[in-house]
Amino acid sequence: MQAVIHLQQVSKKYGEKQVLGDITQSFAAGSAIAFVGHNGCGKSTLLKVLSGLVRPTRGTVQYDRALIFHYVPEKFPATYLTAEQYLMHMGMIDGLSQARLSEELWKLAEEFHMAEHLRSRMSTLSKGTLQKVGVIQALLIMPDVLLLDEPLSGQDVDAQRVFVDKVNDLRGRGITLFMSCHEPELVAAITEKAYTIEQGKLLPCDIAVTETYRVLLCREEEDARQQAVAELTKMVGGEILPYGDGYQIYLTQAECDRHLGRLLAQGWRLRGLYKV
Amino acid sequence: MVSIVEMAKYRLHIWKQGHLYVMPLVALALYDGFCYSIKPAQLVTCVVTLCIVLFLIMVWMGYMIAGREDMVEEQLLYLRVAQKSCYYVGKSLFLLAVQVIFAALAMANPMMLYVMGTDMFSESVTVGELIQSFLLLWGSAGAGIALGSLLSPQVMRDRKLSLLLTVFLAVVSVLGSVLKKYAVAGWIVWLLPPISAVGKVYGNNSSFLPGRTAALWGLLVLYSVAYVAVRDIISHKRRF
Ligand SMILES: Nc1ncnc2c1ncn2[C@@H]1O[C@H](COP(=O)(O)OP(=O)(O)OP(=O)(O)O)[C@@H](O)[C@H]1O
Ligand SMILES: [Mg+2]
Repeated sequence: MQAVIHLQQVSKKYGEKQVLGDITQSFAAGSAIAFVGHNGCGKSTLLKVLSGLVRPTRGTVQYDRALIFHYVPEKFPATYLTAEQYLMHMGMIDGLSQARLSEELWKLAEEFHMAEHLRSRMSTLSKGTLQKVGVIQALLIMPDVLLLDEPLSGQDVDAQRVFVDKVNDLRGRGITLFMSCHEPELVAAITEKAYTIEQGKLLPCDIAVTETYRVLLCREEEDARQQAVAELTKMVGGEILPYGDGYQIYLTQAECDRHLGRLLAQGWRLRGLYKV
Repeated sequence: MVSIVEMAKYRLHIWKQGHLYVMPLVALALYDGFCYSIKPAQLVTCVVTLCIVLFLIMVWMGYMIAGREDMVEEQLLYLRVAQKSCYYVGKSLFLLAVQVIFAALAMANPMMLYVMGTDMFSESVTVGELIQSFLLLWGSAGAGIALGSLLSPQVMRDRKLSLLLTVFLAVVSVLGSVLKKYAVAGWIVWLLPPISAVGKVYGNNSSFLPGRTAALWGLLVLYSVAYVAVRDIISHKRRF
């Protein structure tokens, strides 16, 4: 794929603090990139530099053509308008017709389970609902580049699922995606490549997701609970919590494969297995 | 083009909902009331004083508009358009709308005098004079809002300093022709919108001079455009 965004020896300093240091990197059209890393390592700053919101202290950012960016910011601002009024304005700026926009907007709001809040003033919305407005305004049309700065913070599980579907749909249609994010599952679900920022340097990083399962187990014989816990601890390690008549324990995929067979053979019974 | 107009509409909506216009409007109405109580005998006098008051009110308006801007909201708008000039022109179009609205509101005073006729005036008022009144008011309003929004948070982070400077510049603009005599002040006055020229031209004229009015309007518009351009160039250099 052809590269659309080029960073040439980009550095960014805030006062004396060096946030990004000498980054040279090109990003191809249609790629889906995640930036992960500790709080304050410069993920949001990099997104802003990439989109031209922040001018680098040194170096250049070049685009192959004029790009339309849609941006889901870390903290979405509440205006004096209602969510519907705000989204209508944004859609009109994007060049949608009023009829089409109204339809699209209500559809998205339904999907994100916030249609009943559309007519409320944005300043009265809950944090998660406001963040949903932030997501919807970015999905009204298909921009060239989608910037997601911790897009799912505070959102409910259903909304997260809808979001992942939507974004993957856009990816299928060739959007370029950059996301700053802390959840490995989300990184795995919508991006193909991850970088981390360490001391201002952009480093490729592995995003092998360790999917975790909540496993519910119980013993056939009720007598020796104490002993059962000790036994389980010895076999699988980790923290074992009582759950109803039995126990719950968190295991990764690999640990499930390794231990479950043995546990069942030794008289433990599986009562539930949930992806978390 | 569509985005520019839509962006201005969005800003107008936020401006309306934020009730930013209320206090300036009250100030304008108070001045209007004051004007009537002293019964200006001439339309010219009434319009010239109104120009200065409107200029100051619009400096205040512009300063409030710039101060209320939310950084993230601005970022979202800036990124939405492929051509960044759309963002800046949209912003200016909004300021243009606000200044025209206020200039039109300020016309209430001259219009009232026009309707009430010779009861209050030494001479009757013509439509041509009304048009000239509007041009002068519009020019003053435009220069005011441009000056007021010059030191936006993007241009000057320190809000206290920007407020002090804005007040200083506004006062110097109004006193301009008086201060021009002093060497140092003379230079500053040249950099500021020629609002004091309105008073100077019409100070000892009791009737409108169309040529002078057009020139004053043109000059005021020129300064407004220059101020907006300076602000946008600095903002674009700095970004967010
Ligand atoms: N406008 C600013 N002025 C001064 N310093 C800033 C500014 N923006 C960011 N910084 C600093 O730059 C560093 C990187 O910030 P950034 O917001 O990019 O981190 P982040 O990786 O997005 O963190 P988080 O995971 O908490 O969102 C931080 O130390 C922050 O204090
Ligand atoms: Mg961040």
